[in-house]
Amino acid sequence: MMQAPVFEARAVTKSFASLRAVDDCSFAVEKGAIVGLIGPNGAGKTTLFDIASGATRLDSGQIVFRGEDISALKPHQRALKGLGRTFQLTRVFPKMTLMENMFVASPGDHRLHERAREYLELVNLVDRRHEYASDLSYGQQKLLELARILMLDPELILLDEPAAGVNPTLLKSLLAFIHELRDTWGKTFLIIEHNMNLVMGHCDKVVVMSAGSVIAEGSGEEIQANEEVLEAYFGKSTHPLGRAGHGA
Amino acid sequence: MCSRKYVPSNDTGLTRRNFIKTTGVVAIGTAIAGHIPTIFAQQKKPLRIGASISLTGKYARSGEEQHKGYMLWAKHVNELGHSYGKADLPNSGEPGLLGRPVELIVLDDRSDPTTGVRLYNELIHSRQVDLLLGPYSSAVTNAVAPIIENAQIPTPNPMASSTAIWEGRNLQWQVQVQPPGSRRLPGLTQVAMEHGDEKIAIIYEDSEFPRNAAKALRARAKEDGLQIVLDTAYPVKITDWTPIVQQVMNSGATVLAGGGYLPDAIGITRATRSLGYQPNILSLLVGVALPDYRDTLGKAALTVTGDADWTPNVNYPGAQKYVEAYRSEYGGVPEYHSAGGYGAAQILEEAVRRAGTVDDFEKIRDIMFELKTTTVFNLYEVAPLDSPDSGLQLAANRVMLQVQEADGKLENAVVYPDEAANAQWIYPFQ
Amino acid sequence: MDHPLQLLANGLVVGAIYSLVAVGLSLVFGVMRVINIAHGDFAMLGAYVAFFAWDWLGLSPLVSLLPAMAILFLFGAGLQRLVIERVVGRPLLASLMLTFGLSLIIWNSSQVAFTTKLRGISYLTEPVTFLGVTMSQSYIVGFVLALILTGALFAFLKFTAPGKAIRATSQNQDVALACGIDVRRARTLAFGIGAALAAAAGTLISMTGFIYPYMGFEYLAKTFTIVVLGGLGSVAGALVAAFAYGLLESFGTAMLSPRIAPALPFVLLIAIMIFRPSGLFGTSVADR
Ligand SMILES: Nc1ncnc2c1ncn2[C@@H]1O[C@H](COP(=O)(O)OP(=O)(O)OP(=O)(O)O)[C@@H](O)[C@H]1O
Ligand SMILES: [Mg+2]
Repeated sequence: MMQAPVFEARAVTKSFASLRAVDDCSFAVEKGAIVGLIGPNGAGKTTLFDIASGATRLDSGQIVFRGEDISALKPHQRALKGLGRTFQLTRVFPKMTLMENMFVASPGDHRLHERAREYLELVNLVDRRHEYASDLSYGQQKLLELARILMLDPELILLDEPAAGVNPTLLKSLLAFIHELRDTWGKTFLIIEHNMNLVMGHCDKVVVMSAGSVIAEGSGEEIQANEEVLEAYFGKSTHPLGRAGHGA
Repeated sequence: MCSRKYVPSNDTGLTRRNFIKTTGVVAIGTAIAGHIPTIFAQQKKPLRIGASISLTGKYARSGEEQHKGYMLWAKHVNELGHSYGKADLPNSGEPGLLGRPVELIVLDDRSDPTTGVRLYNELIHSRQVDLLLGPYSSAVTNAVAPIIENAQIPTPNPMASSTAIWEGRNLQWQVQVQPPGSRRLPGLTQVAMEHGDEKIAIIYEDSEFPRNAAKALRARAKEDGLQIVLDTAYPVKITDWTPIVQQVMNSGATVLAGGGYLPDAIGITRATRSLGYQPNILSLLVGVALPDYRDTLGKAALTVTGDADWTPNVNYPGAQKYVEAYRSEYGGVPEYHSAGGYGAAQILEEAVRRAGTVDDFEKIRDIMFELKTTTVFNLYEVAPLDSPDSGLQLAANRVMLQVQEADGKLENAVVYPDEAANAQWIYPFQ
Repeated sequence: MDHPLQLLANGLVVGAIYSLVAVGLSLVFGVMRVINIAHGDFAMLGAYVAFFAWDWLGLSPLVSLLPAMAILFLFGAGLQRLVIERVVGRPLLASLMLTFGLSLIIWNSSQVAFTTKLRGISYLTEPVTFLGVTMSQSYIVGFVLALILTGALFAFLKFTAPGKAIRATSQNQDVALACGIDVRRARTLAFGIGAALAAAAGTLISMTGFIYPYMGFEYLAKTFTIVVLGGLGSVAGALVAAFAYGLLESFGTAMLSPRIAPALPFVLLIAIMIFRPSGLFGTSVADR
């Protein structure tokens, strides 16, 4: 049942001036898994994404994707290799139509026209495909961003807080979409999320970061029982899952 | 008033023998350093003559020519002991000016009057030059004039045709060398009247020199009974003249005169041709005299008239030798700016030689104001010191040129005045 | 007002040529947030390529247009790769200083190489009259070519993959990267295209006006105003503003006074700064 990891962070370290934003971080994401990456604000999660996607250079360590060290590759090269990401603050190309947004992620290949439509259909945006992306609601832009990433046919998709600012109905279809992609297409997901319900309910594995380091790794139950996690979030008093159900 | 600048004389008297004795050293020195002042290195303190010229910016093309005139003059004075046509002056024959090698200190005012002011202050106060020559253009000359008056250094101005700089100002230290703007486009109104033209349009660039030229044209047009149907200034920075020429066309004028500098002449001609406008006379300032004008426009330049302070076929003393020297030094044919630069420097040279000193500025100045002479550039005589327009040029003449075709080549024929003309004025403009 | 059609035509011709310079300047700003002071110098260099092709080889500017564009494309792209790329993402002042320095180098060495002599190409100077509008053929040809080239740029940006890559880079570089776009290549390409379009403008100017080493700066001054008017980085905005500028010059000169006309674009600029601070075309990104 144990799959070969599709992604590995190996002793990744990154400092901003004196701040160690990511400190000797190591963990793996197995193929076909949905892995949650959680941790308090400022823990270094987004920075780790930036390092994985190449937007930020690491100081030391390695990013291994499909068994290959990609630490030296440029961001667009990693994207083309099948490592897709979204951004914490959603970013679409506002002055392009939805279809044009889709094609940006598949330069040169217009045979993908059908696929672009298909993905937009999956996120319920196909009727608006000739409108400008700036006309979409924030939640819809998130869906567009996800659909756009698919144009790269990525093996691994990094989602930075996909649930934030998305209304419950839209969130439901988003989650359904993620599962469908995993179940039928075999995509792998690494998801940063503060919504504990979502994490506990949908992730096969959870990695917890605090102050730049990985402090715990395991199934949802294991994490809920982990003392160190409790401390990292709230000091000793409360449990993060005390908030579960009122998630972000 | 202000710092009267007497530089202590260190004239030790360069004898001919001394000079010959050191020529061995000289030859080596020249070979190593490769420029003239070295000849005098061990003899005499160089005579430093300062000027700012527009070497970049809008006036770069003309400023550069003027600079060449200055440089050729310095070269001739340093090598021959006199400039062309000035061999018979007192104290000539000995290399340099009164035995001192001339060293030009030329700074670039970037065609900007304010910069010119700063640079003349710098030349006078921090660089402590011995003598001055004027800058390029009426605009810079006008801006610099108070500085020179204050410093009390006799200065000939080669390329300031605006009379307003001198008129009523009783300037004491600077003279005009160029024919005044009021004598621009000679013969224009007379020829127009003779042919029965009634309506003239005057358009001009909104800067010192064209404004003055336009003012004089206006006065002459009125005097000769032409009706001015359009009289308008346009700003310095324009790149397209079509809308203005369009207005001229609409005004019904059969004579179009004005412009500014070379770009204006080319631009106005292009616009006139493009709009298919057919006046009887198209007469433009400055540009028409320059070879660039014909080179740029080709046949579109035909029958356009313009004037010149000077053409390379004039017969002033030394002028032809000057043209030759220019050709071998820089290649090509000199333009009037370079002859003007040379000529202005010749005025300074003559005043200094006649004064027999470089230090008694008052004496040099008095001679400069009284002098009646001829340079390679033109005749020279200015309004006397005690007159309101003191320093204003009185003797220099201009000629009217027309672009004509001869043996398949475009040339500037001299068409006015009759005494100077080598061709008929082709009328109307075609 | 006399002959409004003629004034309209004049304004459009001038505007079309400005637009060739302006769209490139705006495109470059959009893609790399660099204000390229040397942009006008590309027009100057293109003009000289056309001039020497005419003077030495007798090539019509309509023929040398493409080689001039190709040469300046390579020059621009090379310059971007070697030099400009180093200041991308740095503060605006760094790129301003750099491109200002480049501009100085380019026009000073041009002044040495070409001398300060004013030049121009006398080609298709015969006027033609149509609907009461009279104009040299060269102006008409220049206008048409300028329109074709700007049209080609828009089609390129809209419909081709590299064009989309440029637009994507302009709108959001990080996302473009995440979408697999080589933004560095997009920047180089955009810079080269900008230089090529400026070269085309220079070629047309050599035919309708005159050229000299310093001309780049004069055109830069105008097109910079145009680009700010249109919204920094907006290519469509630059196009519209270029025509607005040309028409303001033309009508302003005839209806008000030649002295007031050059101030009109700045009056418009101030008005736009007050009412639409990001320029005519709103957002500062390359669009549609
Ligand atoms: N470019 C940067 N320069 C300096 N400091 C940075 C930079 N990017 C991130 N940081 C700092 O690094 C730390 C980790 O930030 P990061 O955005 O990775 O946290 P996060 O875990 O994603 O937090 P959140 O849950 O709030 O999104 C923070 O203290 C942040 O201020
Ligand atoms: Mg984050």
